[in-house]
Amino acid sequence: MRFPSALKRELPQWVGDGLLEQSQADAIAARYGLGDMREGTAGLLLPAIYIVGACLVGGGAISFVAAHWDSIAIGVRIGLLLAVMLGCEISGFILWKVRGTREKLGQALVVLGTVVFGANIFLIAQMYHLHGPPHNAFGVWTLGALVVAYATFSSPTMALACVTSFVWSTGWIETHPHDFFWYPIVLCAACVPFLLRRCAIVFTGVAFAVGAALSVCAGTDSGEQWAVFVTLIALGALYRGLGQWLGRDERTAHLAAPALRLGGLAVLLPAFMLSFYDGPGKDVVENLWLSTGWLWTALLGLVYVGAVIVWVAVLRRSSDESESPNRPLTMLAACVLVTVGIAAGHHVVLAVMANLALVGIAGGLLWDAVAVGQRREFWLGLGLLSLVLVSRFLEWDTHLMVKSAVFVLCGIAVIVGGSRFEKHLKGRQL
Amino acid sequence: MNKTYAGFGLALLVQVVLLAAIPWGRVGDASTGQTIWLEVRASDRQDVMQGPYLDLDYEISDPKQFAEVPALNMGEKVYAVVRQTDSGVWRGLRVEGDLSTPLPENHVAILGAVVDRGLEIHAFLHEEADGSWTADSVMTGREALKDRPVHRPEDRAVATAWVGRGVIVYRDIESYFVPESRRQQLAEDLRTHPEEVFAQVRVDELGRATLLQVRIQERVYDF
Repeated sequence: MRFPSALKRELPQWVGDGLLEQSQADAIAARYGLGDMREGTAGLLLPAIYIVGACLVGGGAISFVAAHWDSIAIGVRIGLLLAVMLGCEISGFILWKVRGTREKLGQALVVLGTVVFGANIFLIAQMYHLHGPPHNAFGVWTLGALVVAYATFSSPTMALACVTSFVWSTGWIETHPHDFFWYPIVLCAACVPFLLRRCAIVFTGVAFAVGAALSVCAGTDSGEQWAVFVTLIALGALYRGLGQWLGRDERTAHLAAPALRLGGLAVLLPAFMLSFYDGPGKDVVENLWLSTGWLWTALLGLVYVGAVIVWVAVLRRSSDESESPNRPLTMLAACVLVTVGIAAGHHVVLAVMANLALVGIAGGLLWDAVAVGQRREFWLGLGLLSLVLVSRFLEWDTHLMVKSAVFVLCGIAVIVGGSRFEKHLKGRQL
Repeated sequence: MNKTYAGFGLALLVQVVLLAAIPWGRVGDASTGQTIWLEVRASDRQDVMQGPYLDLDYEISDPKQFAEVPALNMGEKVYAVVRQTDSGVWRGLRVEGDLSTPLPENHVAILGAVVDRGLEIHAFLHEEADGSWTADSVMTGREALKDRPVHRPEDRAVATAWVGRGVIVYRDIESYFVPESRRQQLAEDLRTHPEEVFAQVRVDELGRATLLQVRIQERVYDF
């Protein structure tokens, strides 16, 4: 159990045992932000559990009816499907909004009702032998989810709308590869009321849907790989900067983790792919600056402007003492390195830059881990460094003895480094 | 609170309307449309969300089946005019851009759209003693590779090319969902009588078609 969680559980007991005064307990709770803990962790976790559970139940409903129970008349089948959908939504609304007794369960039922609505779209189409492009069904699903999300202010339902709309957008991109891609702007606008309330699950859904859709759009409009990689790296820079910026304000600190994780993924994944000498980097530089359409660059420009604004804001404000000092800068440097590597137009330069970026990120993690005493960052950094080294030695056709020596040295370095770090941590704790 | 209730009620109403819009106009009265039989090529498919279905490729999807065809543009809406033959099956006569001229009694116009369904062409090659390559056979469609080994001798190769092919699609009548319980029987019927598959559709005065049933030889599938 993490220290703040344990502290939150223990404090009332200490007050009860007379070890602390209530005022002292309140002061400790304020110091460690225990009051906001539920919003930050369990507040995000529970809706996530509900939405996954609701999706699984909805998937079961889809398979059940997809078995095509032809012995029941179509009218009765549709009646049953509507009854299940409305039953879930109305009972959820009563529990959550009318009685207010079981808020989380009520929310889960509303989400489940929206999932069943999506299943019903496919099933009713099946009954009438309609089989259009799947993304159309996801478009209708998005509309249904949006109206319920707005009517109940259900953030998991809005997050579901983000996911379904993303699936719809991929189909739209495929059929309109060279039209202006307005989806990210509309989705952000649709989510404004939820974002103003700082709903973490909606923020995560929007960030994922917008980022993924922009990358797909760049690839389809340009018809080239380099556009996808450049867009992903730019999104990574934007999300990492946003995460740093949000983390500095208590009211938005719970939004920082999803932004940082998505940003990290958007930087690490392309950097790792491009770090191979004989990998996708060759295709990336082959048709560099070629593009069948250029509208995607308008959205990329917006991403760059956003990234510059947040990074200027992050770098201008003096950082908190508890904040990791090097990691944000190494991430930013990694984004610049990979982008410069792509722009250089030579796959060897690109591979070198990508490797430097990965090693820089790993170094930043290790440096901060030792400086601030963070165990998770240490092992992440060490893991990334090992992954880069192992990948390079598996890729390069060197002598087996050299490979053997390198692997042994890597293993020893991990063991020695890990034990020294654990000792270092123990020393700090004492 | 009343506002919240009203908003929620409205949201549910919107969902019900959206669901009702899916089959809208497909449950037409038998008296308003003409019921016809069309020849199809059917293949057994599986959809992740909707289960097993028959993919129906209509004879009248191929523009070559019509005696008169105007220049077809991709994405364009067209009407396939069919007429009844002695066998009772309706076959393609001509393709029209609009329905301005009235049709004789045994003629029906079906609304479709022109799309590009690229055709795969596979040339099966072998190497001659002098190092040159010669084609043994040329086949079309993905099915051509189905029973061919992936690993071939060094002197054998397959060259594949894609060519654009404009076809007329009839989106609302190209899939026929099958109950799990009848899938086996249907697959068996398809295997033994692949050339005797017919679809019964109802066509209204605007050319919109609704799929009613499928017949394989003498067995009728009506779900």
